[in-house]
Amino acid sequence: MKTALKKLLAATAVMSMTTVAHAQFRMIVPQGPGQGTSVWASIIAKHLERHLGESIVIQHIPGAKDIPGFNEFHNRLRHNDKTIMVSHGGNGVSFLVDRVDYDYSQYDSIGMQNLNIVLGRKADLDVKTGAVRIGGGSGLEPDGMAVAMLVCGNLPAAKDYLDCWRQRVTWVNGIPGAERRLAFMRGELNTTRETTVAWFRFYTTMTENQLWFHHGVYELATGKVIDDPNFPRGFTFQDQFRRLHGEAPRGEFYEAYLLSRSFRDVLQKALWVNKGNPHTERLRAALQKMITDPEASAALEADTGKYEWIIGDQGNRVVNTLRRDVTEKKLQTLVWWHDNAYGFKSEFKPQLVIK
Amino acid sequence: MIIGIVPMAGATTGLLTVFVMADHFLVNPYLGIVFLVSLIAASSTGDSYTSILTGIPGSNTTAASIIDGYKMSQQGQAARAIGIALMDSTLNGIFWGLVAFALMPFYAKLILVFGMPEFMAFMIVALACVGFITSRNFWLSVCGIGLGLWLGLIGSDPATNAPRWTFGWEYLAAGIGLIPLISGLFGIPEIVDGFRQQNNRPAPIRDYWKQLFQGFRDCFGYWRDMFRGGAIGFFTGILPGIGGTIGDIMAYGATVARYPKEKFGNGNPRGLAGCEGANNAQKAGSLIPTVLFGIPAAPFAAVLMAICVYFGMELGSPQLLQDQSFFWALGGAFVGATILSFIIGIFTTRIVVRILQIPYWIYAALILTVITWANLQYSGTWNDIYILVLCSILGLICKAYQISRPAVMVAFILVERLEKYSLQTMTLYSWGDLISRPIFMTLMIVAVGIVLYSIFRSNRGLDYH
Repeated sequence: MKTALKKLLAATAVMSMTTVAHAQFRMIVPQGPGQGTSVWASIIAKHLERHLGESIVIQHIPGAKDIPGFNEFHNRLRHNDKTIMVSHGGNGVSFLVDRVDYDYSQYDSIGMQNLNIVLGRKADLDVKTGAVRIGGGSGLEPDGMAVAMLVCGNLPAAKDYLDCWRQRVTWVNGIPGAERRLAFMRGELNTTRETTVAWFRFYTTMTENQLWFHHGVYELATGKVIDDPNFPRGFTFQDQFRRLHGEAPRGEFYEAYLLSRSFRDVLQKALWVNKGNPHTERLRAALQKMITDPEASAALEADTGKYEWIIGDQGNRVVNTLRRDVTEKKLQTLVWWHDNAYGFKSEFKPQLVIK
Repeated sequence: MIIGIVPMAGATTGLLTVFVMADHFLVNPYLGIVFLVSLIAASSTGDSYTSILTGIPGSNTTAASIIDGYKMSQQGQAARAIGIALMDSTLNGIFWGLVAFALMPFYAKLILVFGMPEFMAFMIVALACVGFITSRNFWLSVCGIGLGLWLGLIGSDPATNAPRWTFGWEYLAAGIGLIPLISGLFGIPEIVDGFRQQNNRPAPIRDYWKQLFQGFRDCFGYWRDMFRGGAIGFFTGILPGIGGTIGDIMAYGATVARYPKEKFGNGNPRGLAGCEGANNAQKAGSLIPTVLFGIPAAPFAAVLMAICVYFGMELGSPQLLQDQSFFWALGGAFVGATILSFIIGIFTTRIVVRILQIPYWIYAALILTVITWANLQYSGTWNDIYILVLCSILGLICKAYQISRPAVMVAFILVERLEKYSLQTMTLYSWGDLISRPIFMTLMIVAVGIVLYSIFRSNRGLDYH
């Protein structure tokens, strides 16, 4: 028995060593295979390695709210020079309201895509008086806030929104994207939330569904939200709000929504390396080449739509701009709303507030 | 087929592996569809080999096959068991593949009839079927199911996103992965058991062809059980979020319930025939919501969708539903690959079953390496190994105390979905709404009936633990 065990251990060790892949770069994805950001990362890795001249392997580290993978990068993996982190919008929202280890200011941006999210509704839903049923979950928090404002109008304080929300909106937690889409088709939910590409792919031919609003695109130069050329004009959240309530959205709740929305959508698909990584410039140059490669841009456009890239240092500046927008009041409102409206367990982090 | 044979690597792993080859098919994406769907069909057949020969599920959709299949293998009837698996997988794959693709557009309404309450009721029916795969001792059965349910609840509360029973270990916030659980419950205990019984290894297969054809004949003898299993697998495949494991185990439960005087879990070929084709039929069924609505009914379907986007084919889009060539590629590849897997299987099985004859330490090292590799694919950190060790200890305890490991695994898989659908249903529906839904009520009555029957039936309790 002992001899057999010794042989077993030796053979296992030899076999294990031969199975270890010696890849050049490693891309950390905080989700399981097949999910949105994971698919995006696969496309990026496939095209980027051609321009980089080295192979890239993807390592999935999934976990609750996609936080553990990013934490693992921050705490351990980032010190390896050949590790690239792939983050998404949900990580951006979690950075504001959840207990996380990661901190964008400690990384260099390789590139990010400034994206948009769209909300659709059943054509027969009367937004001013009807009951809204919306699927909730990680990364969808800004959508819930926008819906609350659209159905309730401008209200003095966050607690007033909560009263209105409880009367008018049913937030259904725990529905993954594909099942949410099916529940919307069945009519169990009368609103849905999609990426731009998914909206055009699945809903535009169905007459019972309508484009309700999209969050708009964050303009880098001004830090303001502008219309998205992928959609017909006049469907931003702000346009819809004005159309419904005859005035512009305003107030502390609106400011908190903008903060959450910006962290989610601007950081929706992003690549990071540790600060001072010797490969930073090489990776940025390869990414720059990749986005001008027609084959790569066609593949990405099919996945995310036609949206601009922010490459290199500009990404770091964007993060700094977003960070400067974090005030104590906005953050407190956001945390309070997450806890009370969605039933989440969030955390106020005073260290995020820029004095 | 090779990917299917690797323990715990199924169609999803296979599709991810071939993603790098997607470029080659950009010139002719239909050929790409043929390639991908063939991989799905062939890996479903290959999965059975691992379950039957090693006692480790080839994937989570062939867990029920180990109950009688592995016992047959230990009794020197490996080729017969493989014969059943090959014929069952092939006939169900062809039949349900044709049914799925020929009638594809007609399923849209059927899928939309099932709402959240019906999905929840379906989960309850599936959970009730766990009663068919428990131990003889009532309390050990309760213990096994309870253990599975508790393990499945470790992770995050879906209502609050707060960690639940993670004991401060962040890695557990995502829940325990299925791969470490399967490895720990089945893989490691079987290796340990193999060392303990080195002098009692399965008898060499003396008459390979005779056994294989006996397996084929068994399938024709049990044709009702075989197609019942396929029908259950197909139907569970159509419903997104239900999942293949449930189809497999429900098919097994239905076979056990149909023959109350027979013993199962002791190498009964009928038990294997009753569940083996369910996973092939489930794969065919899962493609329906994926193709019609762009809604992946299983993880492999999500990866397939992503690759199709890369090909410029948007599953679920109205344009693609008009594309006859696409449907021919999809249906032709599924059925064609199923037939081809059968032919290849007949001639290669003889080599594969020799795994039972190689020196045990080489065999164990191979399996241990694959298990370690499969587990490290999750996060690539030591946490993967720690959780594997913990699950292995659990598996050894279950085996030692005769707690049904299949029951632990199925309860583990079901509880997460059951909780999710319950939460959704209770948020959107009142009790009054639920009572007025006929499908929901029928399923609930069926679930109660199954529970009562599984408690009081005469052939209660498996010999397999």
